[in-house]
Amino acid sequence: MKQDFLFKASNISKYYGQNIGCKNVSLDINPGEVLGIVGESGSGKSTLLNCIYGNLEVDEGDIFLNDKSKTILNFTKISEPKLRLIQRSDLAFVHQNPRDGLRMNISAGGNIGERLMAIGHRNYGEIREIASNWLEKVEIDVSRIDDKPSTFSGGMQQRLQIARNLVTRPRLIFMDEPTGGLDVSVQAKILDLLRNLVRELGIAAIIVTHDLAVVRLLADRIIVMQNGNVVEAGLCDQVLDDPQHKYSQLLVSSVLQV
Amino acid sequence: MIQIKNLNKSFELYNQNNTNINVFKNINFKVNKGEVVALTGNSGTGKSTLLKLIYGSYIISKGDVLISDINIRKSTPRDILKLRKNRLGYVSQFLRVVPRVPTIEVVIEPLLDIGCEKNIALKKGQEILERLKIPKNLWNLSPLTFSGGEQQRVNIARGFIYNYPYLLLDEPTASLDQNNKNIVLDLIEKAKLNGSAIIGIFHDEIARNRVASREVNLENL
Repeated sequence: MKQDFLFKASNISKYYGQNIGCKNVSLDINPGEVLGIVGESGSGKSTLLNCIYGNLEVDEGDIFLNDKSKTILNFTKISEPKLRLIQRSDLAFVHQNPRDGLRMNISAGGNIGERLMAIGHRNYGEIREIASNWLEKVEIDVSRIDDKPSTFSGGMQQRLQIARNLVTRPRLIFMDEPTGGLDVSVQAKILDLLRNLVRELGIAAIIVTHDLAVVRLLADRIIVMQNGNVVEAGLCDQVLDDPQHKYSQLLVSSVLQV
Repeated sequence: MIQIKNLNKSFELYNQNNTNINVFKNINFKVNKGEVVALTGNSGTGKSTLLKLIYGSYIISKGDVLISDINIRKSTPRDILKLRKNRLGYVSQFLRVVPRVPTIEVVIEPLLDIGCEKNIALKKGQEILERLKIPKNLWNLSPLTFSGGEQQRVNIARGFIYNYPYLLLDEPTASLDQNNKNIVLDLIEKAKLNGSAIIGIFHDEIARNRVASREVNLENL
């Protein structure tokens, strides 16, 4: 196996009883790459994302991470505690609904600080300072640092979730419709933030979205899913500008100007 | 050198009664270092399509595009991304950027992508924006609020901030006034002198005559 990849999933299948969640999907990511997964709702995008992150048990296939020490770990073979540790250190997951990714009853600063403490930060002043910086980056007024996310708007909660996930500088971020519930100007800020992080820190990302304008701006490559299967994969602008599969053509042509 | 060999392109539109559109057949030509080849032909003859095939945005139906030793048809998405980052530039008529990102950041992005230090990139960005007469008070604003001509010049700044050995230009002077047109033509001539191989579409005949070494008419092929 080639050693320069960061993450690889091969022949992933997941069934819900008789129904296909996703079938025989393979993908791989190098450091600093952004992969978009597109398709309409029910196409298996989120199932796939949850499978490869290790949230859902797969029925078939293997998932490999080339970890910080250049050891290749197979998610389907390692222990549960080991997987949880990897999920906290090397990976991050941004949920579509911020309530799934935040602790609603601790403060905004606490939500960010908790992640720092989990990777060994102990100095209270320092943690608070980093948390303030991140609130600023995601455009949440720093005076709200001690407020609970339950008092935030949906858009603010989503920005907080992103800050909480990025503060530990993961190597690969999984995102499920990360800008879905946000208004356009906040989406733009988040997109810009993600692009900069990808370039400056070499963070890689897998982004599930139905928003083709978002993938066009963020992704290097995309895969198109329909009924749990990958129907097309390739360079982002190629798939959007010259889609080869019938379903991709339909998907692209149903959008008003991307 | 850019080499186009027996290039064919057709589009199969499955959701529109399986229509098959043949854009062109058997296109052959070469572009050497230090040459500007202008694509001509009526609207609909596939000039922009040809540029997109070379850039990898469209899938080649038949034939080959060679950029130096790289065969685009046989390249993986990663190969193409790497080629675009280091060697192959493209200036389109349309500006596509993340909203709210300042103009200067948009312009220097290609340099940052190849690992150039931010200070040096910023300096080069300021130089080219000055050269293209984008007022200084606009540099920290998003180009999405700019006029058509200003947006086009931001696109040009992005395309010329780095010396791409291979450059594709889709009507780079289309919405510019005479002064700005001349500035852009100067940039193209400079890239040509630097040894870039350039393929461009220029609807403006005067512009075309000034920079083009040769013309390739897609109707006569």
